[in-house]
Amino acid sequence: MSLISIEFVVFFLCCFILYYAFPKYQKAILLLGSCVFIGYYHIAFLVIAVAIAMLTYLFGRLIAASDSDKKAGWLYFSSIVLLAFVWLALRYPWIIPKDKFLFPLGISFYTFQALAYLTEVYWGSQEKEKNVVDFLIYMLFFMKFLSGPIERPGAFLPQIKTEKRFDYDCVTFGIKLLFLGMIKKLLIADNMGSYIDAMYTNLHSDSGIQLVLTCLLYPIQLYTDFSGYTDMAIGGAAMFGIKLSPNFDRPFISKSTSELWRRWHMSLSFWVRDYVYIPLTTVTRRWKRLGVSVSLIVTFTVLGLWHGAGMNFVVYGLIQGLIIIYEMETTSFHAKLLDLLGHKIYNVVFIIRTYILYALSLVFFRAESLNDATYFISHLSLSLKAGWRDFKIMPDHNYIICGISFLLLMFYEHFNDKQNLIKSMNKLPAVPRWIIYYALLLLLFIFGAFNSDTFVYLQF
Amino acid sequence: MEDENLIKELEQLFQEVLKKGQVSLKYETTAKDVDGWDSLTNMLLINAIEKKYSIHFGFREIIKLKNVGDLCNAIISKTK
Amino acid sequence: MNKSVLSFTKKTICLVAPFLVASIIYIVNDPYMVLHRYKRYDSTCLFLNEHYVGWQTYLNNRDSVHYDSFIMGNSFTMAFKSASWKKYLNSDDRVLRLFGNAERLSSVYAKIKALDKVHAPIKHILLVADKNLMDNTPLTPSALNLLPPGESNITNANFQKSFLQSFFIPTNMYAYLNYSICKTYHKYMKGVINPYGIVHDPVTLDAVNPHDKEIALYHDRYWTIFKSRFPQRSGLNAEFTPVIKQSQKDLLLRIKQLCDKNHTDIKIIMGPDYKQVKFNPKDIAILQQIFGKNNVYDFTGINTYTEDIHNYYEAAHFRPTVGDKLLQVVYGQSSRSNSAETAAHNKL
Repeated sequence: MSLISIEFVVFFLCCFILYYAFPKYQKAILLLGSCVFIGYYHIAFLVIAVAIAMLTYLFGRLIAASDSDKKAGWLYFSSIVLLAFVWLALRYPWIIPKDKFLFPLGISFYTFQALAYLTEVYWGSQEKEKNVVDFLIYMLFFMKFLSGPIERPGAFLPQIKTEKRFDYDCVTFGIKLLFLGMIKKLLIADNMGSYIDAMYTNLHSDSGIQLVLTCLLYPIQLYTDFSGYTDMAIGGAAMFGIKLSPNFDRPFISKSTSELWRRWHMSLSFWVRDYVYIPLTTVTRRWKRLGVSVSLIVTFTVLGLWHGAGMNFVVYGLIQGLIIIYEMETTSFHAKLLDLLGHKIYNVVFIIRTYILYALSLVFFRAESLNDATYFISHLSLSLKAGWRDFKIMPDHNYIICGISFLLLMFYEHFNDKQNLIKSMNKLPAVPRWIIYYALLLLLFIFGAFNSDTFVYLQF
Repeated sequence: MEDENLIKELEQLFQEVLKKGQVSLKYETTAKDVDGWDSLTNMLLINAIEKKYSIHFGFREIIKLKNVGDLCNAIISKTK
Repeated sequence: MNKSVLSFTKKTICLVAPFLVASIIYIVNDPYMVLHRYKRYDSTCLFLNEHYVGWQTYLNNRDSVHYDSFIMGNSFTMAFKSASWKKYLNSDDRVLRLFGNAERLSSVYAKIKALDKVHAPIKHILLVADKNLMDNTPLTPSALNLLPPGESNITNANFQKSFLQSFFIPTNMYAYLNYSICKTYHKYMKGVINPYGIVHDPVTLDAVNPHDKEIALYHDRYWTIFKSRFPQRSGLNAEFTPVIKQSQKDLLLRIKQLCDKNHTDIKIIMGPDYKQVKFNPKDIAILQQIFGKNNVYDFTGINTYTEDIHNYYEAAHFRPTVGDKLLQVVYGQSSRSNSAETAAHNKL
C-alpha cells in the first residue's frame, strides 16, 4: 500500500493505537504490521524479504561465532556473494527475464542493510544480533521498507530493545514531519511529475528550451518526491518512538559535487562510502591520488548501477565520480577563485554550477535509455518551436503552486538548519500555531495532487 | 616518542598532504574539525603516515581510528 | 489513559473535527452528485462535471432510449437541439448531447472510445468545435473537467477524491453553504453555484439556457439591455495560426478509425465564434483530408452568422436559431460541395 493511500492510513492508525495500548507486545505489533504491509503488495515479496533477513541473521551468527579469521572471512565472503547474487538476479533482467518475474519491492534497500550488517559483524564493529525478532524488525520495518533510509545496525537495533512509552513531543514531532513530507510530495513533486514525464515521453518533439526547462526542473521533482517520502518515513517512525537516519541535508546549497553527495540520499552515499570506497582506497592507498580516483570511479559506478541495469545509470554514476575527481585535482584553483571572488559570489556561482551539473547528470538517471539521454543532452538549446508557449511545459496553475511551495520549502530548510522549526513551533502561542496547522492541512487537502500513488524511488 | 612531538609531526604532515598553511591537532580532533580532511584525503594521510613511520595499518585498524588520539596510539604501538 | 495520551487525543480530535464535519456534510449532501447514482442530474446548486453527467445519463437511459446519435463538442453544442438534428436523421435515431464545457479533442476521442468500448451503436456524431478544442491545450485540472472512470483511466477513488478536494476549497464550500442556507446569489459564487436550476433536458441533455427567458421577456431590447455581454469587435479580418500539429492529427486519425469501425456518419462544425477570428485554412484542409470534404464545415470568421449579434446569447454562445441554420447547410444541401456553401455564407 502506498504511504499516501487510505489503506495505509487505516493500517498505520491500527498499528499506532495497538503499539501504545499494548506496550508489552510492541515488537510483535511492529513485526506483524511489517509482514502485513509487505505481504499486502504480494506474498512473494514477504517470503523473499523474510528469507533474505533469516539468511543474514544466520550468517551473522556464524561469522561472529567463527573460531578463526580465515573461517570468518570465508563465511563473510560467501554471504556477500550469495546476497549480491540474489539481489542481482531479482533486480536486474540478466538471469531471470524481467517479464517472468515480479521485482520484489524494497529489495535494493534491505539487501544493502543486510550487507552493512554482515560487514559490520565481520569487522567486529557490530555485535551479532541474537534476537531473531529484533533482527527481522530491523530488516522489515514497514516505515522504511519501501525506499529506505538504509539503516545501520548500530543505529537501529538498540532502539527496538527498549519498550517505548507514549512520548507526546516525539509523536507530535513525527506527525508534523509526516505532514511536511506529504506537502513536499503532493504539493510540489506530484504537481510537476506528470508534465516532466510527458516531456521525457515525447522527447523527439520537444524544443530545445523545453528540454532545458525539463532538465532544470527535474532535480526539484526528484528531491521533493524522495525527501518527501523520507520525511514521511522518519516522521512515521518517530510516532513509534524510533529514530531513523536522515537522507537529505539541504542538497541544493552544495557548492561542489562532493558536498552534494554528503547531502543527497545520504544513507546510500554513506553506505557506498563506508563499504565500497573506503575499503577500495585502503587497498589502493599506495597509488595515492590515482588510487583515490580509481576508487571514486568504481564507487560511483556501483552507485549508478544500484539504480538500474542500463548504461545510462552507469554514465550517471560515472559523471559524479569524474566531477569529484576534477574537484579533488583543482582544490588550489578553487581556493584562489574563492579569494578572488569572495565568499558570497563564489558560493552563488558554485551553488548554481553544482545544481546545473547535477541536473545534467540526472538526464541519464531519468531517461529510458542511453540513446534517449544523449539525444536529450545534444538537443539542449534555447530554440523554440511554438514561441513563448514552449515555456509552458506545465499549466500556469502548476508553475505557481510548485514555485511558491518550493520557495517556501527552501526558506523553511534554511531556517530549520539553524533551529529545528518543527520543535520551535511549540513555543508559539496556541492561536497562531493552530491557525498554521489548519492552514497547512487545508492547503494540502486542496492543492495536493492526489492522483499519483507511487514514489520515484519505489522502482529501486 | 613523546606524544607532543608526535602531534607536531602529524601537524606538519597534515599541512603537507592537505596543502594547508596551518593545521592544529589535538587528541579529540576528527576530520570534521580540519578543513580539507575528508574521505578524499583520508587515505593520502594514512599512506603518508605509514611511509613516514615505516608502519602498516590493517584495514580493520584503519576503520577503528576515530580521531587523532586513536591515530597517535596506533602509531606509538606500531613503532615500539 | 495517561495525561499526555489524553492531551494528544483531544488535540487530534480538535484538528480533525472541522474536516470531519465538512466531510460528513459532503457525504450526506453529495453536492456534486458523484457519490451515488441518480435518475436526473439537476437537483444541486453546484455546477456539475458535465462529462460525468453525460456519461451517467447515457448509462441510465441506454436500455430504454437506445441512444445512437451524439452531439459532441464544447458548449457551442447548446445551439443544437436534438429535435432539430433529428430532422436530418432516421426517425428511430435517438440523440444524446455528450458535451463538455471548454471541451478538448482528447476528451472527444475518449468519449467516442468509451462508447465503442461498451458497444454502443454510434450511427451519427455531430462534433461542434472551436479553435481551442482542436488546439487541445490542457485545461487547468479541476474536478469539473475530469473525465469520469468510464471515459478515462482514472480510478473511482481518485475521481471521488478530486470532488472531495474541490468541496474543501474555501470559496467553494462557503459559496455552497451560504447559498444552501440563504438562497441568495452573490457575484463571488460565479462558476461555483448554478442559480438557474435545471440547465438541461434529463434524457437528451439538450441545453436549457436561462437567457431564453430573458429574450422571451425583453425581445429585441435584450441586446440593448445586456449590451455589456457583447464586447466591441474590430471588424477586421483575422485568422488563427494553424493549431493542428502531429499530436492533434493522431487524435483525429484515431477518431476517424473509431468512426469507420462503427460506420459512423460524422460531421464537424467549426462554430461561428463571436470574436470572428477565422480558423486557419490549413487546419480545415487537414480535417477535410481526414474526414472528407463533405463532413467538415467552417463557419468561423466574418460572415452572416457572426455579424448579427441577435444570433448570440452573449459573446461566448450562439443561439439555436443559428444552430438550425447551420444544420440546414450541413445536411440540407449535403450533395453540393461544402466549400462553395461556406463561401456563399462568408462575406468575403
